[in-house]
Amino acid sequence: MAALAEAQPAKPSLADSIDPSTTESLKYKAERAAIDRSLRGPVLCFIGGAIFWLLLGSLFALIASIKMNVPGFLGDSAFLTFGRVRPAHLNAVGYGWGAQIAMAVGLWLMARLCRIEVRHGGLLYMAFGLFNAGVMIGILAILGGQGTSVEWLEFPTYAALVVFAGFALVAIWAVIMFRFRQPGHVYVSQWYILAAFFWFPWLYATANMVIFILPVQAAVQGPVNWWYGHNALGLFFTPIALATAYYMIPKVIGRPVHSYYLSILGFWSLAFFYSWNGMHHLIGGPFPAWLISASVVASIMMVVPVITTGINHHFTMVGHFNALRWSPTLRFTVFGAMCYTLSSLQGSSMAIRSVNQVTHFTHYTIGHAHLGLYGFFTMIMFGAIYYIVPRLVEWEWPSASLIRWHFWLSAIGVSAMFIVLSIGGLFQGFALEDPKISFLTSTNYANAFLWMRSISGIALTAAHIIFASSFALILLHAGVVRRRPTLLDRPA
Amino acid sequence: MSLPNDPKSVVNHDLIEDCFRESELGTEVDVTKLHGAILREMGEPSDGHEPIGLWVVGSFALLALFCGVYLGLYAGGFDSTNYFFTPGAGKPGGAGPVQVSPFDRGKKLYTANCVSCHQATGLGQAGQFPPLDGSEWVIGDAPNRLIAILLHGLNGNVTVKGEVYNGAMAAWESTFKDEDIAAILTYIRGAWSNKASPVPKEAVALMREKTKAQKGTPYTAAQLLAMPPDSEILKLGGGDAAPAGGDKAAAPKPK
Repeated sequence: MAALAEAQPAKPSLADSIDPSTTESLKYKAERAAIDRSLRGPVLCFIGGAIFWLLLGSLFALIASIKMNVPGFLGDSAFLTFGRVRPAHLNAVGYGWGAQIAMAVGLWLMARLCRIEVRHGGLLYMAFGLFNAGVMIGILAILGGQGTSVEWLEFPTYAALVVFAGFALVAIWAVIMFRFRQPGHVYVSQWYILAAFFWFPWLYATANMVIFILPVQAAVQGPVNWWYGHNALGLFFTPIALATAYYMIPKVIGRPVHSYYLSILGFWSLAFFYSWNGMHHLIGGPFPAWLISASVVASIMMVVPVITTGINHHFTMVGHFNALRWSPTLRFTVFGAMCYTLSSLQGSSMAIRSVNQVTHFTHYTIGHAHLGLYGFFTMIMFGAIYYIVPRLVEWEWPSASLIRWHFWLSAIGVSAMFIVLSIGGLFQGFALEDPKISFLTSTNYANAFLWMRSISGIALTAAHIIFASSFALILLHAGVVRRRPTLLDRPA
Repeated sequence: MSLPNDPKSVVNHDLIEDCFRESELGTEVDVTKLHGAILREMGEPSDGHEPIGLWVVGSFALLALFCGVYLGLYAGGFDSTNYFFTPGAGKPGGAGPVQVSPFDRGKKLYTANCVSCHQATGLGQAGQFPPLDGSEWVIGDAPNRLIAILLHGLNGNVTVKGEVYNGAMAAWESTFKDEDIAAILTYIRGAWSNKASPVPKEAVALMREKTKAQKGTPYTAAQLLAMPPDSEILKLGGGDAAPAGGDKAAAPKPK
């Protein structure tokens, strides 16, 4: 064993000598290397596919955003009209990027935490093929005018079935990995991933089933639509991103998560309250008051998991905030975790009826959606990719400045987008509430803000191009052989 | 060199052997075999066990209390027929679903469908569209004719208040339910200076049944005039002339 300890490349630091969790035998390190190798192909495919859809989705977003100000822009081709490009954007980034990167990161985290190599990884390539074929068919169908026009479920049924098959295969693999896990403690990230891989297929299948395949009565489709739309965010994207943050923060700073009890409270309160959310989108609609009020209350109660998780992450980080200066993963993850607190508290406030009356059906809601899915989910996923990919391709990121550019363009871009859409949305919302102001005037109030939104969207697109180049370079093993990680700054 | 062999481990032992051999030889561990990122990586995350602060529990309890009060006030008593947020709605004596009178319902439908010809004043347009206000066709004691016109339409010359009009009244049979037609008729028989009795929806249903054969073919005035006042319809309450104080107008007589 002494010889094994000597095999560690670096001299133990003071932290290593105090905290046994930071010094591990080579055995565990080799075990991790073996796990990473078993997942290398499938996870890299999923990440690559996700980045492809991220780029395409950004392009759709830019086109749709410019059309807000210049309605005639690219208006001559039917497939590039707003009614098609906008759902194409949503589905490309929601499923192509969001769900796919969630699968990649979820699979990797699950394997790492279950300490198990993936078995029959070849089937995961099939899942990759199915999922991407499904998304491709769906996007083409939307552009071709066959979208269903049900928000978040625009894919026609034949595409949705293929997407579902691909996703279900990944979910089954994650569950099987969990079954074969090494004995021992089940870490909080595993709860979230396992739950998310159960919840999403259930949500997606149920919503498609009762809206398209065996449609329920027309008015009831509204609640089903919003139950799905909201819970896909809360019971899939959110738990995957939280699982990632719960893994990456303690992993990078080498310190246990603040409180196991807070983790439990956060997980179960999310599971319990989130599933009630969604009906607050139907305030003013033809639905019984209790249905909507229950959703409003559940949205307000979301403060519980959010504050709990926020406290847990914050107190884990305390004393290590200087690590944000040098660690790319930590910087993206902590930015995302902060956006989680912000966007969730904002979301709770937006469910309150008097606020909802002003902000719903305005750009304010769009700002909120980007703060949640981009500021929170996507930023945490970026952080995870910066951690995972070097371990899979066994190469360090070729350029720290590319990562720096990516971070600042993304962070500033999404913050700016959130701020301008919120302000523009409020102007628009108060004007809509005023019967003396015509509808046309109320939309004009947001014009200047929509231009600024397009500019922030260009910043985000640039960030994605930089990120994709960085990913291509690391795949090609570009640059010099580095024996140290690619850090944003010299560690203190 | 033997390595500690954990039977439960899924470790790739060859990998360890390789790394181990290299470190024995004094060379640096080959990054292509065990990448630096793996070597420098911290252990897998573990849990701390700090208790949950009392202030956290207290704040959440207050939040839950607020939400309970909110549900009590705004959930409409968990009544599935109550669509109103307002406190007290749904309880006995509360606001509850609004009932619209047939007259008001008729006014709404009239405004949406009829005013372009017959005008909001019910006076029609001279020479083009006949008036409804004071019209013997509307307020007369033969509402079966009025119902028939609304159901299947009217074409050709018709004399109203001494003027001859030649137009085409649309058929509404497939557009409106009995209840809607009854509401419109109730409205035009009671609006402006008209004071004839309401038309119940049962009368419309009966008339719809009796005039099935006419579907698709508008009536002519002569055809309608040949139609005697229908006792069954009158019995349902549609045509017992004007209520007390109203000026009773005679239905147009066949010439």
